[in-house]
Order: sequence, then structure tokens, then C-alpha cells
Amino acid sequence: MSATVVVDGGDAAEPVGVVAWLTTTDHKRIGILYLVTTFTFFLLGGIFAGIMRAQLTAPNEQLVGRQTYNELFTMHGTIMIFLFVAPFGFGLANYLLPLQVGAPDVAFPRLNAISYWMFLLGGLIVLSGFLTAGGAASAGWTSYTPLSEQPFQPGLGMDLWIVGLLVTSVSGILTAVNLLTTAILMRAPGMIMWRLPIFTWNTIVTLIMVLVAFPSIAVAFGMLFIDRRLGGQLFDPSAGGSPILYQHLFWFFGHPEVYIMVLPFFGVITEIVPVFSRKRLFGYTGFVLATLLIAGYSMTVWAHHMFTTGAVENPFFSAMSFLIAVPTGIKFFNWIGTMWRGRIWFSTPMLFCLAFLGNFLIGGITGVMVASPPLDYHFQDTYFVVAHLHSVLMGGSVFAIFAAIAFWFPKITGAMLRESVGKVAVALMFVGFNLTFTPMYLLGLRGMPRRVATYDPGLGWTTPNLVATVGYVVLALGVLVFLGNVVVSLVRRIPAGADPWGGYSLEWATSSPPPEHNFERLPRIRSERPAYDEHHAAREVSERIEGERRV
Amino acid sequence: MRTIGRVLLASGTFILVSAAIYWFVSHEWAGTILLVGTGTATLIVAAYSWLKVGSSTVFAEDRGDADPGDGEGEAIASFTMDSPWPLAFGIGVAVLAGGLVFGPPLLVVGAVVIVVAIVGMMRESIA
Amino acid sequence: MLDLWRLFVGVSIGVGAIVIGLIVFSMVRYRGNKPGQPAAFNKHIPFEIAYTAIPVLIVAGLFYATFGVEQNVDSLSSKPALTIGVTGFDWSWRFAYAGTDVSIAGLPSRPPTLVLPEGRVVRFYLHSADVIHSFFVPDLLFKRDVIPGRTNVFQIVPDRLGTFHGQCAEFCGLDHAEMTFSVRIVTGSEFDAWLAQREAAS
Repeated sequence: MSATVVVDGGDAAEPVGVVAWLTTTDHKRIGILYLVTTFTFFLLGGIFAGIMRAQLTAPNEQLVGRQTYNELFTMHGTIMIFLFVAPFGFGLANYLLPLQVGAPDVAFPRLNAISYWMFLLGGLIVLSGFLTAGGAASAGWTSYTPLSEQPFQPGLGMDLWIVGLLVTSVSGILTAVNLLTTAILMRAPGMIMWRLPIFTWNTIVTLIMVLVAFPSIAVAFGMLFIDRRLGGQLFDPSAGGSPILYQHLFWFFGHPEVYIMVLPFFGVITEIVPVFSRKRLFGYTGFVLATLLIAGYSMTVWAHHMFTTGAVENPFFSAMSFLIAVPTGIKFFNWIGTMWRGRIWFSTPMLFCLAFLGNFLIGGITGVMVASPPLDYHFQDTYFVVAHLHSVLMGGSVFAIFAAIAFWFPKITGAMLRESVGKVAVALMFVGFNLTFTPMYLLGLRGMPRRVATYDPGLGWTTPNLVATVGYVVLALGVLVFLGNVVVSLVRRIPAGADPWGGYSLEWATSSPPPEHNFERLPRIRSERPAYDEHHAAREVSERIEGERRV
Repeated sequence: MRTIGRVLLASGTFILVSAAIYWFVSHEWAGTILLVGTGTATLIVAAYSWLKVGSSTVFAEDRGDADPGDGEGEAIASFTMDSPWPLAFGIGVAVLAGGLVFGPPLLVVGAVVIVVAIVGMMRESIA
Repeated sequence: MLDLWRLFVGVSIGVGAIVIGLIVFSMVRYRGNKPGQPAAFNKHIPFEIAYTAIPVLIVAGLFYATFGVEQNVDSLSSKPALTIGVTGFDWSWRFAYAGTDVSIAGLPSRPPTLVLPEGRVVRFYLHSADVIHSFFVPDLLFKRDVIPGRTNVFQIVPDRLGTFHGQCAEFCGLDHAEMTFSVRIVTGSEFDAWLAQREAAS
């Protein structure tokens, strides 16, 4: 740019301790706040899942009442989708994107802080429903009308759910504007778009999708609120309103949201696999184009969640859903091509990536199965769909989240995680995950509907449910081992140095943790691997001279 | 800017073409309106980046051979390091949202907090 | 219908096995932190075209197969021998046999039984009295949503004798899990006798 933003802040006395965190506008600190907050939400949602699994272990179990169970699965889905996976991606982008493009901060630092506080407080408003007399919202994370309307959900918990999520979606839109501006206008000299790290590329595409999708959900929630509190009848069929319209608005957000929750983590995998294969990414350009295609198709597949309503054009959405599998499949070959003829180092982050590949593959393939309407007439709203979405979001995105934590923990904290403990965590989580969700595919085939608080014996559902609960225990144990590793590594620090992995992108060219405005000095940028080039420049020059001498 | 302009142009065109196909196979209003709105909005941003920015100047971050330090100009703004006002703004929004559920008094309190936070941030920027 | 299931399961297992095989092969073959530079294998246009084109062909085939079966499943062209009005309400079902006074209603604690004749075309009209439900019989591999303000129609030909489990599949509130029913499929003559007896009783 023709003008430069100077960094100025040293004149006043700098706040310390809690006050420093409450008043910070540093993108790295805000990123850490996001990561810690969203991970805490993840643990809470995971505890809810544990209570549900305990309830379903055996038929006719009465551990919690039906109302409580309905609140738990509603809040489990709400937390994981609105308060964990997508905003964890925002948090990671908050920390990494300015570093990866070589900027000193985001474009609008105070707006960034506003986004974070709106996200946190919006999330707490959603959860505060548990404190009201009627309990938390219990209409499912989709909150289909008319079930979510006043006569069927009279409690304040539902209203708090709506306004809380409205606040977090506005926060998401603000974050998207902020980070997009940063990525487009604040790149370092030489960092052309086609040299951006894939994590940044995928984040850019994700944020464009946020701008497109979030307004639709804000409209749906706003209309629902008008119905509930201001006497509207927009979704009330008895007054000529349309429940189907709510589903259109919801899924026009909801399906892009699926990719908003997945694309940043494709980016994470694509940062990690090349580093530990000791190679450049296979097919960089094709990868970016595939990401763009996914974004385009994701806008045209929303009603595949509505095949069984009888109210949508099934063949159109079926065809589009099949097509979106192609660019997703291409990415697998990018990753395999990257490992091909490499030198694979099985570190903890790489092992999480490999677990991701296995889990996500199953989610992708079952996704093609449910994209066929005649098959979906059976699968829709059964545990097959539950298993499919968890293969994608838990086995996929969440495993990538753990890979990201393991990979960037040394950068963020300056300390290494214990590798041996990390490997135990990967193994437990991989086994636990598959033990939990493979039986759920079977339950879906045997016709167990989702969102049931209990079930009768004699339907073939008992044994798979028992196995799934055992799997949950193993999975939870893996998460606890990982958390223990984080705590121990923070207390008894093993210094990491600037670049413990031999990383490629710009964040590995600065210290760990990076200084206040990220770079003391920027390297020259001549490829998509500036940190690698910087660290290997001397050696490559000497090798080239060596080669020329031989000729 | 060129690249992002192309990305948005391609995306907007893709969505509008999809909208046309969708209308002809389904004759369904809600989805068609959503798609047309999305595609048009995308194209507006594409047109902006194309016409207003893309054609005139090439920034250092868009030149593959630029070196660190290239393209630096005069200072146009400065980063504030710490500010209590974003938190205040967030609290204001949360109180406002609570007001939607629990009644108008909170709406007033929330609006006042938001205004105070905005004034606070403006004073920071001037100083 | 079952052929479509077999096709999808077969293709899924085939594709999955190939990709898993490639991943495991690369992990084993290219493991280790050996000295020396790895290959500069980061671009291969023919390979990239192939791994784009082949999946496109696969999904095109799957779509073709899907489309034919779906037209069949959703078709309402053959004339129904029996028409049943299904009403979903919080939290049970009512089945009304058209042209008769027979209507079977259940309660959450006492699920109703839907009796159907084997080998006859049965058409269903789905209504909801309150929120969205979904009429789901796993053994028929079929469900259709029951939406207030909208009447969904489908028809089937029961082809298997026996008693099957049915359940609401769309979450509908507190007692959603109790919103079950049974489907009893009997021979045509048994059905006629049952219907006559019910009609006499009502």
C-alpha cells in the first residue's frame, strides 16, 4: 500500500495481569482468548454428550428426565456448532492469519476485541437459559418451527437462545470483515495471493462464506423472535405462515456453515502434512481452486437436509451434493500426493492429521450415500446421519483442531508439548472415536431415530449403544490425556525455539511467542514457503554452486 | 486486489447461473431469491475491487519481486495497544440483547453503554 | 431400490478401500526421517486431471442410478386400492381408512397399530395437528415428514408379511421418543376380514 500503519502504544503505562487481557487489542492475545474460550465450550458440550451416552447405554434408562435430555442434546449441538468448531477456526485465524501474511496486527484491532467480547457474552446468554425456570432451549440445534414457537417452547430459555446466537452471528460477521480486510490489504511485500499459505487461503474463502451465510441465519432467528415475542405469524401455518420457509433460511445458512466448520481445518491439515512429509504441497493451485469450487457448490446444496419434506426439488439438490464431493475428494489426493515420495515424520500433529484422513474419508463417503434421496428416505433423522456428521465434524474438524493445537502450541507458548504423551492421546482418541461412531452407523441402518431420550429393548439397538458408550469413555480419556499434556508442558517448560518443526509459513520466521507486533524483520518472500526459504537459503546457494562446479 | 476480484467475479457468476438453473427446475421462490441476492451482492463487491482499486495501482504485496520495505509511505493511522472500550461495547450489546428478552429498561441501559463505548473509542482515536 | 443400496455400498467400499490403501501405503513406504532430500514431486498435471475426472464420472453414474429409482419411489401414477389418512400429533398417531369409519388412534403409552394388506397399492395422506413429525418405518426403508399446513402424499406396495416397528423421526418435543407405532402387514383376505370386523364394531 502507499501508506503505512505505524505502531504506537508505548507511551502509556501498560496494563498487566487480568486487566491486560480484558483491555487487549493484540490479535495474538485475542486469538488465545478465542482458543481457550471455545475449547472450554467444547469440554462443556462434551460433558453433555457424556450424560446423553450414559442415558442411552441401556434401553429404558432413566438417568435424566426427557425434558433434561432434550435440553442437553439441543445445547450439545448448539455449543459444538455455534460456540466451538466455527469460532475455534476464527480464533486460530485471529492468531495465525496476520502472522502468515506478514502483518503487524489485524486491520481493525479494537473491532477485533469487540467481536471477541460479543462472542463470549452471546455464548453465555445462550447458556444462561439453564438458569431460567423453564430450563434451556429444547427444540434441537435446528429449532425447526413450529416446535420453536411460543406455544410449544414457552420458556425464556428459547428466547435467550435466539438473542444469544444473534449476538454471536453478528460477532462472526464483524470478524469476517476484519480478517478479510487484513488478508487482502495488509500482506507483506512480495506476498502475492498465490503464495499465501493454504490455511490463509481457506480462511479467506471461509470468511467470504460467513458474509454470505450468516445474514440468512440472522434473518431466520429475527423472524422467529418476531413470531415469539412481537405477535408475528411468519412461520405459523395456522395463520398462513410457512414452516418450510424457516427450513430454507436455516439451511441456506446451515450448509455453508458445514463448510465454514470444515474448510479452515482442511487448511490446518494442509499446513501440517507438507511440513512433516518434508515436501511442498502437491498441487497448490488445484487445491485452491477446489476450495473455491466447494464454496460455490456449498451455496447450492442446502435443501439436501430437506429431502424428506416433499417440498423441495430433490434431483437438483441431489446432483449438486454429488458434485461437491468431487472437489472434496481432490483434496485427499493433494494430501496423499504430498506424502508420496516424501520423508514422513510421525510427530503428534502429523498423527492427528492421519487420523483425520481416515475419519473424514468415512464421513465423506457416507455423505455421498445420504445425498441420494431414495437412500436418504431411510437415513434422514436416524443415527446414520448422526454418525455421518460426527465423522465430518468430530473425526474431521475436531481432530484437525487437536492437530492445530499440537502444531502451533510451541509457537503460541514458546514451549514444546510432550511427544510421547501426545501419541498416547492420538491413539486413545482415534480408537475411542471409531468405537463411538461406527456402532451409530449400524444403529441408523437399524432405524434408530436421533434425538430420542430413550428406546425400547428388542429392536437390535442395545448392543451398539453399549459399545458407543464404551467408546465415549475411551475418547474422553484421550482428551483428558491431551489436556494433562498441555498443563504439564506449560508448568515444566521445554523451550521450543523459533522453528521446532522446520515450518514453511511466515509465523515460523519470527520468535516463539512472536513479539508485540509480530516481526522484528520480515524475510524476502519468493514462494509459498518463505520461512523455509529463509532457513535454507544459505544451504541452497552452496548446493547450487556445488552443482555448477560439477558441470 | 486483482486476484480477489477474480475470485468474487467467478463466485457471483457461479451463484447467479445456479439461481437461473434452480428457478427453471423448481419454480421455488425462497431459494431463488436467496441465490439471486447472494450472487448480486457478491458481484457488487467484485465490481468495486475491479473498478475502484484493481485497475489503477499495483501494491507491493501484489508484486512477486517486491522486497521487505517496498511500498512504505506516510503514516495514516496508529494502532492503539489497549482499550477498555471494546469490552464495554460488548457488555452493552449483551445488555441490549437481554433487554429484548427481559424488557425495555435493559434496552435503555444497553443503548447508553454502547453510546458511551463508542464515544470512548472516538476520543481514543482523536488523542 | 435394494439394487441402489447395493450399488452405493459397493462403490463406497471400493473407493474407501483404494484411498485408505494409498494412505497406508504412503505411510509405510515413505516413513522415517531419513537423511537426504525427498523428491520434488509437487505437480503432475495428467494425474491431477485424472483424479478430478474419475470422481466426476463416478458421481454422474450414481446420480443417474439415483434419479431413476427416485422417480419410481416418488411416483403416484398407479391407482391406489386403499387410502389412509395419517395424522401425527403430540405424541402419537391416528390412522383413518378412507371410505370407512375405521380410525385407529394411539397414545404415547399405548402406540397404535397400522394394518396393511400385502400386495396392494396403499396411498398415504400425511397431516400434522401441531408441529412437524415424520412417518418412519425402518423396514420399509422409507420416511416422509408430516408438516402442519401441508399434506404430503406417498404410496407403497407392502411386500412382506409381519409386524414392524414404526416411529416418529422428526424431533417433536417432550415425548418424541414415545411416538411409536406398529405396522402389521397381513394377506389381502385377512385384511378385508379385519376391516369388516372393525367397521362393524364402530
